[in-house]
Amino acid sequence: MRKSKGIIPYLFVLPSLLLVGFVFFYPILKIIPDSFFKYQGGTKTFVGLQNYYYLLFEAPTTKLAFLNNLKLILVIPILLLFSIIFAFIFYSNIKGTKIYQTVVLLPKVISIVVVGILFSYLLRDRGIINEFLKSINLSFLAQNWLSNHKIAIYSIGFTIIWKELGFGIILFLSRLTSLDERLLDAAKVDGANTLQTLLFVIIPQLKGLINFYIVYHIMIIFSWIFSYVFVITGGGPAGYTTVLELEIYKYAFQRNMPGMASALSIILLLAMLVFIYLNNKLQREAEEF
Amino acid sequence: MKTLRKILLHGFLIISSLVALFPFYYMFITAFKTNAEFYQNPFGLPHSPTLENIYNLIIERQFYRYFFNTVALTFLSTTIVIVLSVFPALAYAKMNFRGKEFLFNITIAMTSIPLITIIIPLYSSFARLNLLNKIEFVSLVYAGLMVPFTVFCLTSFFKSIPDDIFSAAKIDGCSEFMIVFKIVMPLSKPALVTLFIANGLWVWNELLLALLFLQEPMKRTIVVMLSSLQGRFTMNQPLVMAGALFVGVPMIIIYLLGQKYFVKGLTSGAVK
Repeated sequence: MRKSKGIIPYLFVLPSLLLVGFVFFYPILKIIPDSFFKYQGGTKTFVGLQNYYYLLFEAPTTKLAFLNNLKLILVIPILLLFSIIFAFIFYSNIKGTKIYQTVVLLPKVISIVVVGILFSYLLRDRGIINEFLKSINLSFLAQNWLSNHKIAIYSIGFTIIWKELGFGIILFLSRLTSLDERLLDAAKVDGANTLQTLLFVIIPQLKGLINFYIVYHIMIIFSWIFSYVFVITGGGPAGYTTVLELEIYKYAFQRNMPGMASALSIILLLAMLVFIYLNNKLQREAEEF
Repeated sequence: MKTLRKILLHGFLIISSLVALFPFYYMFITAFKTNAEFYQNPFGLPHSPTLENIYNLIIERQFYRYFFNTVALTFLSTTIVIVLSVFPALAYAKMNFRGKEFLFNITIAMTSIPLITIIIPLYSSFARLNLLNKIEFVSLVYAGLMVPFTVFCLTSFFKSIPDDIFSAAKIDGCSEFMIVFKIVMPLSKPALVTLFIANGLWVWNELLLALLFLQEPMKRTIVVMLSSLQGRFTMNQPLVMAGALFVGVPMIIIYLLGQKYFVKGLTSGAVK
């Protein structure tokens, strides 16, 4: 490593820090005090922990939103399973791999807004999915995918799977191609079949990436799915598909309650922080054993 | 046995590909139908393909304007973020200075901050400074949001450049700034292209920030226009799907041309 004296390194990092400060540090520091105030008609009053109390114990929508985020977590095991299966198939270099790969990554390059609109059309009552089910005499399976409040959130989950699967496949495939081939050869020599190779040779090698994938997607599900919900259902029917992000957005820009929005933001940030901390701790413990 | 397995595997892959492609097919065929035809023939190929919807969007709704707004926003913000990240990444990777670890870690930690939690103060400071609806300033916000990820990727890339190259350049009399332009930039071309694509993809497709910071009708991005088109013309699916083409097709073309970089761009943050 080179020793650099003087101010040059600081000149190098300063502009980026100023911008990161404006975009991240200042807003994070600002929502902490904001969350203790109530804003009404241009005046702000200190209300202590009232916003938090309301959100955690009284607000009808926070719990609903949180449960919806939890329900969407269900997409992660499905994504994980299919990502590994597809990556494994592509890894075996079946004919046409290149074309299949191109196709499966296509959904990832399209805006969530386009995907959301497309699926809101495909899934509507007289959309193609229901028409298709009717045409193959499975009309009993046809549902009001987006207007039935019991299943609408799962329709959003399905859309997320469709869009995100390609990313997982590519991720696991790039890890697989960097694996030591001798491992696989050894397994072959020992007479392991494909399933055994996958379960006992490959999956243990993928442990780190699997953990990363799960953690990354839990964070996505809790904090980066606003656009899906906003475009596909807008939180409806009757607020049944709302998620934490959408609640923050509504408090801030529709219900005109920035104090409440800040408090919910803090709750979300703290939850993420605890989650990251616990995960790191578990990781370290796992490494020690 | 082996052929049977191959057939089954290909069958599985073909069905999956159809599932992946079907929504695209639907978008394309619908965009070229009239609304009347759509109601008679919602799922088949258009009998008499029409450019009516695309014409309507470009001429009557001035979609070219939103298209150029988005191009400008994407180009500006991805360029700014690269310029702003190359220098700190080089410092973090190759220089020693007090507070380095701390500054690096606190920058990188910002990659896990959800946008929604910081958007209210960001929005009010922008409103107070009277910078809303100004594409050049809004692209600064986009750039700032991408700095942590970009610095992270570039730092790990720069670490892989051997130190000897720098010492040789120094002996030849290169200043620190010249090193960046003469040595670092040319050497990192593939990494920079990858980051341009990964960042550009995000900005082009982004909704939340654009929705709030570029509300003025003439300043909107194509994604925001698409979302409002859907709100106003839900029953006119061909028109909305034509709007979706404006958002989707450029990215599909760039993806097909530069697939290698997309794959790298999407996995770069993860694999390291």
